[in-house]
Amino acid sequence: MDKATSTSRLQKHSHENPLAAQNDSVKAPADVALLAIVLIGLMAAGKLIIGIAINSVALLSEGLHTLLDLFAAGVSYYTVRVASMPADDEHRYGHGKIENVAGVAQAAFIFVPTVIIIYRSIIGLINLDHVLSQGGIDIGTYMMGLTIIVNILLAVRLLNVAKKYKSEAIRAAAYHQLNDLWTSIGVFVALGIIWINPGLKILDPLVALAVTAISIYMAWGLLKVSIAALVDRSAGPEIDNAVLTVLKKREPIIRGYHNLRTRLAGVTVYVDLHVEVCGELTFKDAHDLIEEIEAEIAKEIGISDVIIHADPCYKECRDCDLEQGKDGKQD
Amino acid sequence: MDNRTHNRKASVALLSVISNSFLVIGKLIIGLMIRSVSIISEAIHSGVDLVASIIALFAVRVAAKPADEDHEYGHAKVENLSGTIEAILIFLAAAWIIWEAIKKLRGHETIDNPGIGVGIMAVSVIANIIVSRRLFKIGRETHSVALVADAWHLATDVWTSLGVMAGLGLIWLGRLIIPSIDLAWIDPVAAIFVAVLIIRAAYHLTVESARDLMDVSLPMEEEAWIKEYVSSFRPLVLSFHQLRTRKAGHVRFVEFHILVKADMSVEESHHITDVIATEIENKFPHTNVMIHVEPCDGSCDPDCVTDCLLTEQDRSAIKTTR
Repeated sequence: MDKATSTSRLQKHSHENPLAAQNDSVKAPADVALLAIVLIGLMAAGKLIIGIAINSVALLSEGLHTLLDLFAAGVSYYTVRVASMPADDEHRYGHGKIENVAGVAQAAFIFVPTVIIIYRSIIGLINLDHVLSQGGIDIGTYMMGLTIIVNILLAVRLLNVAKKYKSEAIRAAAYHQLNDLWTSIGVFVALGIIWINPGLKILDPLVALAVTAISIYMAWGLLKVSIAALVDRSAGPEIDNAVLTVLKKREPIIRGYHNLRTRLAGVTVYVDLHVEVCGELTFKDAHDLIEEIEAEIAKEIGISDVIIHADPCYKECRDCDLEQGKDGKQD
Repeated sequence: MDNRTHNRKASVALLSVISNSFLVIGKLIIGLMIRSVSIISEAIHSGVDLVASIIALFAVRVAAKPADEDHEYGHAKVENLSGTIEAILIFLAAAWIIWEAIKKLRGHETIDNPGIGVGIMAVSVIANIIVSRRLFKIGRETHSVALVADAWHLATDVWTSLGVMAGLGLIWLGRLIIPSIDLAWIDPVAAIFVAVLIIRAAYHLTVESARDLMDVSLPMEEEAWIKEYVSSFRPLVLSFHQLRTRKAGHVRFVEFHILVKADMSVEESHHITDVIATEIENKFPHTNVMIHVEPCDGSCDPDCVTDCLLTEQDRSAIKTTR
């Protein structure tokens, strides 16, 4: 069973070809993730080798940070491939949630280099003699400048792909790259100033500490989004409003709705609700109406999976008000 | 979930928090006193356990909250998240043990009084056995992922403690029997050995806990029962398809499409779904059933034919009547 038929039977009614879009959206994120892994690997090696050669604590901790990025990028490359796998017997809702699991894992890995940077900075503050004892500060500064350029290009590419394909994992990777950028700029500026004036060695650990505070803040934001999806948090009022808009168009045949539930798995919005239809309708008509509504809701909110249960309503039409459904009469 | 079940879960989670708090303090004091790396790292390990059991307690409390506007499917998934975090923390504890042991192997520290070390470790083993058995029991009875993960966490702790105890015991015995040989290396080597075992257990627990986060289907036998039950409604129900099941904590979610005769009234078809849903919810407690009804028009698309309850003749009969 392929993903198009399993996740949304209703898309068949919308006269589009969801399969073509699906295949396209699978390839680009996987490609860009591989590109990220290769580039980050090269940058990590460069920072570590030069860091050891010139005995720069800042460069070494930057290199270690990048090494952890490499791990995170590897995880996201793997999860993008898993997320695009079709639903199977074991995962009947598809594999979209792996992206949210990866989001949590990446956020966790951002914390590790953060702790390392803080530790390194404090060591540097306590004893400045250990900082850059081998000279060669110019090479270190060039290295940082180069990685900043590579990082910007990579992050922009990742963000574009993430936006286009609404991939949570790629978006996480892009934010990770931007996080990297802050630490890189911090180290670059500090090394540059020390190059000009070796008496200002203390700038190096100070800049690192300031930059770390920013990365902690960014990591927290990402973690929140991923956890929300993992605990089936509601997809938000926009989705509820889209559903209500579609239902309202069909008053008074549609009498009301209740038990509206929404959740996210990766990029897919899952929606289910009970709709009260006029009890006088024949079953066939009621069903056609429901299918139509399902398709329209799906079209309204993008990549989604909508399932509606129809309840008959025998009240006089004037007694009914769609808005009342919002309070959720629980069946 | 009723109040009594929740209270049982919350109180055993609290027991785990209290027991871990005492173990952390005890191990830290004695570890510093006799300068044993194993016991100090054991204290840190118990500290990780303490954090984990606090998370489990928090998860049990949140999971009991009813569905609200922000979490329309309820809060039960918090238990799965807690279970996964708990499993990951076990890795962290194992990595820490190895790190400390390697430092010790390189440093050649001496241990002042291994006898007291063995004593505190024995207390830890007994406390952890009691608490983890209690957690396993309540966790399995109430189908609580958070409690079972916490139980596993403490069970791996028992093995760590036993390994450290055996190491310290050997050193102690060695000093009594052949005082000339230095056996201090046994302590860190035992720690590394145990850490490797823990990493294996942690891997399995992580995979196990993270499964439901991925919306894995219910066990085969439960799905088979649902299929069989729906099939028993033939000929009222002509076919069913797109059966999808998942779990959040102890709550099951089941949804599928059924096909009925096209000339049935909305009321009739709705009544059938009510009966089916209620019966499934009776069979499996804490189940949430969502049924979508479709008229059978004989069009027989592929995923419908898979579970069709009609014979080939029945199907062609429907097609010809149209």
